[in-house]
Amino acid sequence: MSEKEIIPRLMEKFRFAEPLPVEVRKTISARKKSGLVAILRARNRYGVFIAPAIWLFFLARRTGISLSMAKCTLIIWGIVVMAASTAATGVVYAVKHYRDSPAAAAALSGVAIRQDAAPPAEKKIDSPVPVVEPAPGLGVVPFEFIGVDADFAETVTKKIGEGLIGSCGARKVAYVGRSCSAGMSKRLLLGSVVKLGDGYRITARVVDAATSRILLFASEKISSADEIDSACGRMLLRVRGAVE
Amino acid sequence: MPPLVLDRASRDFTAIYSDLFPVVYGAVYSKIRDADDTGDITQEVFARFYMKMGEVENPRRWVLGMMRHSVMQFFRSRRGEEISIEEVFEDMNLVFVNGFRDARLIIQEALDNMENFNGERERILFELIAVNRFTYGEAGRELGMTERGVRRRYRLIVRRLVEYLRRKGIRNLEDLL
Repeated sequence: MSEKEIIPRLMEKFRFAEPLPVEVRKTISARKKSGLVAILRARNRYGVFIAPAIWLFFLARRTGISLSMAKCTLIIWGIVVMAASTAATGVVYAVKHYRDSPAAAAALSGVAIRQDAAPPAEKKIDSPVPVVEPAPGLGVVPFEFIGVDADFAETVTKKIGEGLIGSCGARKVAYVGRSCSAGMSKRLLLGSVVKLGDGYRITARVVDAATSRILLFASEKISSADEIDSACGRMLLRVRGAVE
Repeated sequence: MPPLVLDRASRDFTAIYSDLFPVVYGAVYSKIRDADDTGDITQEVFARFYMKMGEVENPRRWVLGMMRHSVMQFFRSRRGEEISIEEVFEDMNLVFVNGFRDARLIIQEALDNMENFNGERERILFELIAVNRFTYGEAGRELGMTERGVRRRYRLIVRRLVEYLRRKGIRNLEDLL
């Protein structure tokens, strides 16, 4: 008889053994967990943040891994932080996507936007100015930007766009999104703001929406952001001639 | 505002509780033979331990002592009369006579001697398997160990116990059976 077999028999013979029935042994784990929760709850040490750590603690034990509560808490909080940062990234992405959309351009400028310029899933923006129909003479597309932040390019777009709307009227000029298609307007005002050394280069071109032919090109170089107003004013004078 | 993390005392309590719970539960059940009452008594024992933990030097001894007290209280409340501790926790050594009593005392000594166990968790593991008849898998699940790890540790414990008994003069264990 092996030593491993002798020990249980010794325990039995000398009445050390206190065998537990199988059904009782099977319920011990569940009773252990519920007992711990009850004790912690009675001492106000239990809450929604503790529950997952305890759940992980017992799950690990059942799978043969002995984790301390401190490690379980760390793991749970790591998961929480990861989930939160994933959600935050999603929100940032959604906001950025919205800012680039035509609906955002309309909301920023306070003027109407053509409904068909917005992506189908986007929310309609209520505006005091009625929706422009039929297609305007010139659609202002948000300026692209290289080396400058989006707000800077947006300011340039707004200054030129509002100047055009002010001088030519909202029936002839409207903001359109980058995802605009031919037929939304006859002509499009496209442009870019590029950082060049200490200054900036602002370019604008009016293209025929149907043929993509460039009808007008204007470029201004400014040495600081303070010169935006004057540069946009000069550019506005040149572009205004292209509005039908 | 619910707590964000468990404080250190609660974390220590959770570790001790999780290891000792099956031992206490098994000991209570062997006296009471009712799973629900056993669960209540075991929880009461650990709830008291949680409050006194800062003052306790040996958690195992304190918890088992409180377990005996709680079981006594249970029997007294049930029977509505005085009951002696010997009646509930009879001294098993007195059941045996002559050489067998000596052998039992030596085995008892071997089980109480911490040199035969590599830490408290090993002693609990031995008790679950040898005393409460847990399978290796069940004992592993209670202590967060793999079945293979439990098997290996149990073998080492048995080897140390047998060696201890041999040193005490019990050369052939089969003679005791």
